[in-house]
Amino acid sequence: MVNQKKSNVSALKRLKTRLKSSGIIGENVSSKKKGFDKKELRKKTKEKLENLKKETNPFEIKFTKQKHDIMGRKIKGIQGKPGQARSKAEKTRKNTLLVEYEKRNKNSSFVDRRFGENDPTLSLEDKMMERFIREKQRKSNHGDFNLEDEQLTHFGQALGDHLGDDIVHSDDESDNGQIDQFTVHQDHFGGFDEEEEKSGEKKSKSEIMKELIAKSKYYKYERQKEKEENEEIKNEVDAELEDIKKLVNQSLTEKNEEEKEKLKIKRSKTDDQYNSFLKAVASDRRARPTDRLKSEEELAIEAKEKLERAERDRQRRMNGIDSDEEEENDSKNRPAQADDLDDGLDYNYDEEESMPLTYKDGKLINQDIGFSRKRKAKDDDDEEISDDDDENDDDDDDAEDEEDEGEEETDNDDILNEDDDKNENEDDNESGDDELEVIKKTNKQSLEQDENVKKEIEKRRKERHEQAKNELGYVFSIPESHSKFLELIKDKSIQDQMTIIKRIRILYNVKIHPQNKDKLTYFFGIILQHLNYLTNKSEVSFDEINRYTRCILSFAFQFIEYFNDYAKNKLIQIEKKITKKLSVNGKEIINLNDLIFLQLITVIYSTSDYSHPIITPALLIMENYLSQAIINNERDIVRGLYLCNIMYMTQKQSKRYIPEAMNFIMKTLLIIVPESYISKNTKADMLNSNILVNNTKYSLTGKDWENVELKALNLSLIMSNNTSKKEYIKYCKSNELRISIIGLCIELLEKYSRLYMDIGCLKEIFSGVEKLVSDLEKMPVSDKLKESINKFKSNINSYIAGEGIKRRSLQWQKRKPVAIASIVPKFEENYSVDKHYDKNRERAEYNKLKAQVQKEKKGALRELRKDNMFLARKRLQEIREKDREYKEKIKGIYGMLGNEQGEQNKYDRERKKRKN
Amino acid sequence: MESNKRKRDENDIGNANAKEKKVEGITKQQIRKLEKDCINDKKNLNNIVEIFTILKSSSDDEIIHTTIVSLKKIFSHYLPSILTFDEKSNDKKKMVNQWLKDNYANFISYLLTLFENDEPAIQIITLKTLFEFIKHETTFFSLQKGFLVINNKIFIPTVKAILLCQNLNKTFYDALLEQIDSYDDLRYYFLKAVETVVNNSANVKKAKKNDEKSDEEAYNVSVNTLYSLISEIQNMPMDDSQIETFFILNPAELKGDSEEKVKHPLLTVKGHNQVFGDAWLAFLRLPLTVPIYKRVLLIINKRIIPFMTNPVRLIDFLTDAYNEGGAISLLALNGLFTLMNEHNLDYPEFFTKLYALFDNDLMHIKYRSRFFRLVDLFFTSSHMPAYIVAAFIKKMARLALYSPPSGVVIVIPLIYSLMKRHPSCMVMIHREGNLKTDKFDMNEKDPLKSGAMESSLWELNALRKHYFGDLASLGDIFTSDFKKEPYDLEDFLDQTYSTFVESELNKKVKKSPATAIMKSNITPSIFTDYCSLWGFPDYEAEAAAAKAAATAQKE
Repeated sequence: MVNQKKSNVSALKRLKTRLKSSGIIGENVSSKKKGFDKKELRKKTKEKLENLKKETNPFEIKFTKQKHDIMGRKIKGIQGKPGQARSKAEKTRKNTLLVEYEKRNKNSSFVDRRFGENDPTLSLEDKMMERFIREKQRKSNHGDFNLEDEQLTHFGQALGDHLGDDIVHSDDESDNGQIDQFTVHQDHFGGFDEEEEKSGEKKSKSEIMKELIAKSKYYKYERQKEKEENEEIKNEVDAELEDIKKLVNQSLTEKNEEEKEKLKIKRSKTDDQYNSFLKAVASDRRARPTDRLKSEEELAIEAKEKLERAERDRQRRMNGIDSDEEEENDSKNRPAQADDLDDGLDYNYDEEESMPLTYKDGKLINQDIGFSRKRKAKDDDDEEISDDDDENDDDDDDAEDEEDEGEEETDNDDILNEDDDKNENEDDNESGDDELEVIKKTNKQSLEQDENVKKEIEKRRKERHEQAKNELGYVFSIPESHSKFLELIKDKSIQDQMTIIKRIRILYNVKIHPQNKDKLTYFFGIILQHLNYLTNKSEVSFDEINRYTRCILSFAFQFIEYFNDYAKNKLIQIEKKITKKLSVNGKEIINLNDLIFLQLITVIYSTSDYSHPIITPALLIMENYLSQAIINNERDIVRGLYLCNIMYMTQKQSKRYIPEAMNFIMKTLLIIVPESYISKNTKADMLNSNILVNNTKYSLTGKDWENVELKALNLSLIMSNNTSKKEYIKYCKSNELRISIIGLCIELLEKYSRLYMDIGCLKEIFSGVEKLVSDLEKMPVSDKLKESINKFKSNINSYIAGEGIKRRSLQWQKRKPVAIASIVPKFEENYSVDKHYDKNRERAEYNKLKAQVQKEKKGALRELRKDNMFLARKRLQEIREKDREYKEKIKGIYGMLGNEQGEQNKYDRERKKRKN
Repeated sequence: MESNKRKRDENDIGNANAKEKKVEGITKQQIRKLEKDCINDKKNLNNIVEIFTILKSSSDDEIIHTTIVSLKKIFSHYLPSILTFDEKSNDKKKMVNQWLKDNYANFISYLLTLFENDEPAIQIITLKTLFEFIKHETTFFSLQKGFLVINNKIFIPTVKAILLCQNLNKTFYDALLEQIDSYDDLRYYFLKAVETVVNNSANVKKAKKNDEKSDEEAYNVSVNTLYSLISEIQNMPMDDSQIETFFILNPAELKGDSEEKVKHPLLTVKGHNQVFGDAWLAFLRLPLTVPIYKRVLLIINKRIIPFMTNPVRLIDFLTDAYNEGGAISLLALNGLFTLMNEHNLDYPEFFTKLYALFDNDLMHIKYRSRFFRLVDLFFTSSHMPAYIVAAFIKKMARLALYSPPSGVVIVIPLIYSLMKRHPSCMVMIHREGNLKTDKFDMNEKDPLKSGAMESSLWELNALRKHYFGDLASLGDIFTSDFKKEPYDLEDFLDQTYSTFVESELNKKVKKSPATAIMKSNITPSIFTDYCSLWGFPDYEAEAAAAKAAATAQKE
């Protein structure tokens, strides 16, 4: 409305009214501002004018017409001032882009850093004033931390006075661990006794320093002098040592005391206290950084080296040479040196004397003593080495290999004791006689003893040789084949075999060398092969198998990938064998080797898995065998039961149901128990009539079985591969075995019943068992078996009864009631029809950002385009300017030349005229 | 006699030593020479005797073979004169023909014994020779009479000889079958002969307790031989037009004096089926061994019933087999079902008997999958009473408790399908409220009285905890909604341990197999926690003691 009103009036009038309203023109201006400064006034008017200028000319405003005007909606960009915007943009470009453009060929630029130069608010006078002040300040002030002018103090004393004292004293350490008084005075805290200096004039720093240096030099000189004197005295004493030998001790103590007294006098009490404290602190071991924990690699290498060293010793001992413990000790005590012998084999310590010998009258008197000493040393060393070995053992996790070091030790001790006895005798002899006699005697004796000693050495050497031979080696290389391995462990006890394997594992530790992994896996393969060998041997020793399987276990955990492949292949092998043999009713379908292998994998792998790539097929294979369960001899029964037990172990945690195991156990019972004791009812109730085999070959025979005691199975006999042995045949036919089998069946059933306690259909599963067991109860058997049968029966009855109480009808189809479908429309709060509305907040934000980016990008592009246009314009301007200048220049030249020509023409004309 | 001389002369020239060893040193060429001479000139007829003696005395297979071939050629040559032999003709010719005829008869009877020879080549040539003679004779007589008359005088003894033989092998069977099965007439007459031979044999008669004493000597038919022959007959004609290959001659070509319009039975499928059925029934009357029994039952459905004119005649056999129990019953079920299904046989109390078949053996026999295939078929009927189905379900579940995985894998989907078809059986897996007692009686023979509806399928509890994870998860279908389609049992039928193991071993393993957790840093002994009666020492304790000792020493 205002605009409309104004639009009727002319522009000039409007300008006038506006100037008036802002108070630039009119009467009241000068009168009002009378009191003010003229300058001030001018400034203000200028400002006002500027503001007026800023007020836009309505002609410059542009409107975009809207099709649908909505009340209350604000839309950006309806109104615009293109002219102003353009001029503003031009201006900023001039200030920025143009500047850059003009500077484009310049490498350096001048920046005006004078105070206030870039501050337009300051007036010129202010600037100048400020600059002046600053300059003054710079001149007067040297900085906030000017140390030259101010003196730093400590407790009111200047600090600089003591600077450099340390440097002076640092080179000469006090000789006998005592700190001289000067240092104490000067340097230690609590010192600063400088009264003398204080009283006198204040000395400059350099003076103090000089003085200090002089003093220290003096003291140094003093000490040197003292030292020299001491040296002299010492030399003197050395020269006449014999004479004053007796006096030495006395004089020394006296001297010491004297010195101490002197010192005491010198020191004040406080000093003493302080010093003692200081000493205590100094002697206190500083908390040294502990040795870092060794990495696995280092440990492995260390263990390997230990073994190698032990092997060297052994070799040496085997060759009858004394072991090189001395060397070992040495090498322990001193750091490694360049000329250390690598193997130490060539160096014979036997010939070396560790103790200085005493001569009298050119004869050796203490030879035997020396020897005894030496022997004692050896004694210790022997003990040490055994200790070392023990440590070896302890280092390794496996506990099995307590080597027979104990025995060795005792052997050594025996020998050594003898030695000691002899020595004592000799010593007695010596001490009992007079000196002269001793000398005479020793002449003879020494010869004899020499002989004795030599013999002794020989003897010991031999003994050692024997011992070393029997002793196990320490360094082994991995055997190339199983036969080589057999050679290696030939005649070795099982303990030693384990030690060998362990040592090989240490020597070829994977951490030492990456290639060792391949080597060790190869060795693992050999061990597995050896297990096969052990189980296929005619005489089976379960102790051996136990040891080796343990060893394999630890191997398997180390090289699990290798074992995975091995297990898989072996399973395939067994599966093939079983299917092949089952189809032709072959005998010996499964052997001990397979059993042990299956047992092994149940320990190595997690058997409770729902589905396991190794265990599941293994279980299926076992069940396959068991379900067919061809019984050709007693051994097959035992094997089957053994499998049942293995399977039980696999299900100990997961408690899954294995029908075949139940089948087999029942079948076994039905076979073993004489038919007359099994009622028809029981047989009819067997859920699997396959297990009813009319075979009385394996049942208890004769009458004596009623008295046969229940004993543990002789597994190694029944599993032995030598079936032609009389013992084996006899045992197979014996009732003892059969009774044991019954016992086993009961034990297994007991285990399984406990396993299936919560399965939910114990009654159905064990219905046959229950009846069979009540039949068994009627059998006249020995007390022990009877007891276990009774116990099992009562257990199973209680389990079944317990289940009966707990059991409910199945309700597997119970579901949560399904809610009725709702038909109420889903309302959304803050719904909007706006096209930017998005329920998903994140997406909305993302889209918003995206739009912003796009907008900014467009803007940036536009700006760049405008920049380019601006620059192009500038360039054109420049070129025009240049052209113009050039033109003008040429024009000038032409003009000049024209003038010249005109002159010439004029002149020519003149000449013609003249001629004419 | 002249020829003899001549021959001897020739021998003298050829080989002086051959004189003494007339028989042994004889060569094929010489036999052929004899044969040629004999055929070319009637005067050399005595060569027949000579060759015959060679045949009888030789032990060399090749010589025997050659002599048979030679004699066959000679007799074939002289056969017309033998057959036309008339006692009324003049003396000289009569003498020669009589002599020839005797020799011919001798030769044939000797040939019949030659089936006992171990060499298949000889057996085969014998067979061929005999068939050749049969062909010649039959053709001759048929042409004479105008209609087809098989010469049973040779044919039946031949068949008999073959059937009595114990030492025939596959090569011979193949050769014989090639003849019999490819020629319609031979097959027809063979089957006919089989019937007569078997019916006259001692083992059938004994079974019949025939009091008539036959004048023939008692003989036993070899069941194996007969089975391997008649079970292999595969080219039975399906249509009259298919009967077109004849070994002897086509009876239709003969225009007999009897001008009846009736077709020769040889030319009709019905006739063939008739003899086929008769032969089989005769065979089934023989006392069969168990393996043969089973094999017959296995093929009865596809190879026997379709080719019989009246399969219902098998009912006796099948019922006997069905009542046999065990595997044989299961196998008989198949044939019985075909009869019931396609030939309107009425079998009372079928389901009761079927229920009886669900015995303790079921899950462990070889023919389990065949049986279940049928069971699945029987139960497709939706009109069965739910309590009968429930009885079957409960029984199957119970049996599955002690069955191998291959049985369980059939039972679970089958139960699922049955429950799906008969939702009233669902009470067995879901019952509101609780049952006081389990009314199911495992030993009840009648499915109606088994009381399965008043029980729950607790057995599935155990199956759902089966050690084989795949089965266990299969058992979980009972807890889900019954929305799945009934399983196609075919996918589960033919599983065995081996297939399970194979699939397990071939599974692609993504992760390496999980290892057990070691509880202590002492490697455990694998014998830990085993039954005390194995007699293992406590290795664990030993190891622990050793370790303790070691640590003690260290300290």
